[in-house]
Amino acid sequence: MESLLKLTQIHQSYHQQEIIKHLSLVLKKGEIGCLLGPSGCGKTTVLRCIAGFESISSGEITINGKIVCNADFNLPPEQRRIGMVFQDYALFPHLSVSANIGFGLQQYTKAERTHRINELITTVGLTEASDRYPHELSGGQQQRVALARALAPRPDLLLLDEPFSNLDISLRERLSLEVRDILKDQHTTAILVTHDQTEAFSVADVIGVMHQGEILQWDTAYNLYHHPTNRFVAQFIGQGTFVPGHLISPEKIQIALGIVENPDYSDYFEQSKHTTNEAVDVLLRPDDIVYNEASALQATVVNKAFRGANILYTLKLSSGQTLLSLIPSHHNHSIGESIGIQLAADHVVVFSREKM
Amino acid sequence: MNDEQPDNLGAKLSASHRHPSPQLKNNINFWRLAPFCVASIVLIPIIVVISSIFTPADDIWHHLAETTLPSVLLNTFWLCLGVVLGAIILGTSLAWLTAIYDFPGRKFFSWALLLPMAIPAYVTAFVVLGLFDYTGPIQTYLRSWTGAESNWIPDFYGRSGAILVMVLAFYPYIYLLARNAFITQGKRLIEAAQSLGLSRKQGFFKVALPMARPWIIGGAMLTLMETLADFGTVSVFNYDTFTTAIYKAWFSLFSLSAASQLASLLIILVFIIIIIEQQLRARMRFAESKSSRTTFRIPLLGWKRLAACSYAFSILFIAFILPCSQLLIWAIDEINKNIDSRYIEFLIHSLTLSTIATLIIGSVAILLVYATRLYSDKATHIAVRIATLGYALPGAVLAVGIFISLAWIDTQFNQIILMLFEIEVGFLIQGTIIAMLIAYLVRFLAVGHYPIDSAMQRVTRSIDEAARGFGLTGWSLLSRIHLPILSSGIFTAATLVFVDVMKEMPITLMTRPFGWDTLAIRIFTLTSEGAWTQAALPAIALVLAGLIPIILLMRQTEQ
Repeated sequence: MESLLKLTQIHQSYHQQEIIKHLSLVLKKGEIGCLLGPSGCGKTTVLRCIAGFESISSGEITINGKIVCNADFNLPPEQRRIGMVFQDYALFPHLSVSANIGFGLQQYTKAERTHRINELITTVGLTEASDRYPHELSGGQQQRVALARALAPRPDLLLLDEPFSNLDISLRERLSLEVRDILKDQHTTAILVTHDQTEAFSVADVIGVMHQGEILQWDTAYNLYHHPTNRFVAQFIGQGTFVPGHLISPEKIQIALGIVENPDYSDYFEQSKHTTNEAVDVLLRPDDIVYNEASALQATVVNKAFRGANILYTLKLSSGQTLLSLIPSHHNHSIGESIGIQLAADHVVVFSREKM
Repeated sequence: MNDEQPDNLGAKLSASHRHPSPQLKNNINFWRLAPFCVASIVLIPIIVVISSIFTPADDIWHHLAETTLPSVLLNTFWLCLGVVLGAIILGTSLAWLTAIYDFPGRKFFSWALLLPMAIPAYVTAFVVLGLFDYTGPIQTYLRSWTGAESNWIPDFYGRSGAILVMVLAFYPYIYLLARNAFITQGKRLIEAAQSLGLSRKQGFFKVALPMARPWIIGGAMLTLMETLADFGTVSVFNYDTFTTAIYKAWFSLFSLSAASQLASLLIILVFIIIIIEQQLRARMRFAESKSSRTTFRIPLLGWKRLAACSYAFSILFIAFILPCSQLLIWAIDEINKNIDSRYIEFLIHSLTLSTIATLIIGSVAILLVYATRLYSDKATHIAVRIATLGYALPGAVLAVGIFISLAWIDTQFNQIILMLFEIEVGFLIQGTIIAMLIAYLVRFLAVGHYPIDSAMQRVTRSIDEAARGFGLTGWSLLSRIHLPILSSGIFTAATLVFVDVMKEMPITLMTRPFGWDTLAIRIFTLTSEGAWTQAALPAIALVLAGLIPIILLMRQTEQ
């Protein structure tokens, strides 16, 4: 498949502060990408640069093979054939739902326009609300209008800026799946910006974890969780704790809880030579540690969070090392109690110790 | 003020919104009645003026209707049209420029463009006249430059002058409102339009302008009210509108009935505007955007930077810097020539009046705010709305209405006393400072009420409940929770009222006790004699006072 969006080494600084640092990414046609990161990591700025609302100091952005901006050139947003869903929706308050959706269809004939508006109103399920005004709609309905309005002119690329952050959690989950269906149905290439992992996982095909203006890893949700190439990604995605250990052989690592096999070395680590006895950090996910009454290995319960089927325990070993463990909730232990645990990791991620 | 103990008020505050006790509701008490009393003080002069339409017209009125009325109507029409159009163009363009774009001095201009509000329009008016006077600096310069006698000099007497001055004085209303609309949602909506394939210019006309229409028209309505209420500017330019016609009917033709009939026509015009404004305000609330995330402004490049900068500067220069400098030059001249000892007297009169009026209006405003907190039923809300209606009423109309009402009360009182005791006591209220103060109360109650009322919105029910949870009730609730939260609102209210009363001209002129001259009256007298330079000294005092509320406002807008 051909690439639709390509960012090559884009860089932006504002008041001597680097906001985007030499960031690159490629999005294929029909794919949904996501920039995921904590607030202030620069993800929204990247999106605004793609849209053309902000310029870059170096690098290059191409959409559909056409350069839309580099250090000295900036194609105006209206000529980029993009659609955008804003965080606050930015619906036109003086226009009805159908007029909002039809706003970008100036070049269409009247019949074509009506057809396209009706098509989209049906797609997003707002047939009853077509004559209403934005202030008469609920948050979820406004969100759908914003999506329909952005999709109406059939943009090459759809940009979504934290599109679900103004909705309550139950609606957020349902709508994010719905939006994915609509985007896939319309064969839209899209890029989403969010700080919420579950949102990213449910909508996107590829996710870039961003930190301080850089993409640390551009990968599928599965790989971000199971094969993080970077300590920040490992801790940002899912839960887990780092446990010190050392190599017995390249395939076996000794940690306080026992021996783990099948290590998955992070990118950085792979470049160096693995020598026996080398000190490493092993990432243990909560499901890597299971309850075993008979186990000799004892840990004290420091904290617990009830999760329905499971309880997430924070445990402390006698060495002072803390661990997270997800244990079926019928094993209900109180804080301060000592319980037996056992290592059950068939695959772990290993980071070099030097890279603290 | 009342015989209620503060403790009582606190206790009621606590009790009323937990479960409104039937005993409290049925008991006719001070707090229940207060809003209705205040509303009737406002309503009586309005009714008196309007009812004069139905009273048989006397000869003077016929005379007026045949001679001055057609020209007054025509003058008012052109003035309103010119001022509103000019203020919309100036206010909206400056608002768009400072809200969306970035250019050298943008930050400075965004607040400095409010400064013209500090100068009363009638002050700018006489400065403009003085500047273009035959002996004024501009004509003198032109004569020395060309050596010729007859040069092209714009005719600033009359219509064009009055329009120019009022546009410069009132555009900040539209600027302020439109800028607010553009800042909160303008940029995002333009971006949305761009993402849908429109250029920025198309976006401005198709999205930003229609979106901001309620705000712009709201500002235009305020401008219209100020234009209709203006007395000082039109009298400086000798351009007869309703307000000056009312004054002349009353004080030159000595026909109070003709004056009140003119006032009744004006009041009807004003009410039409109020109704339109109220409807727009309702629309404005709907269109309000939740998020106001500030994004980067669009930097202007090349010649556009210079153009934006010089446009903003030239408006600021003409509307503020030029009149202020001219005032200073004249004032320094005057001080060196003959400092009039009576200025101290005028100043003391102005300050005394403003202080007393501020105290009265502040107390009544606080009273209204607590009354609505205790009784939030519909009747009370309507009463408060009526009580704060006076700001829309032109001072000249109010002066007539209040004078007639008080004269009636005085006459009735005199007749009763005469009947009972056979003594002639003479007029007690009319022609005293009391009449003036009542007129100020009616006119400026809204100015004092709004800031205190908004501050009170921050004292939510749950704050009261939380405070009571910590054992604070009665006086300690008021002094430790309410007063600290309300204090900034009360301060703003007091400042605004104080300065407004100081600048007020028609009410003071028409209801003052004989010989009670204030700074504003002094300016009126001097400018009607063409003594621009002498009027500069009292004018500077008014401008300095006028700067205070503008600085407060600027702090709010800049955050």
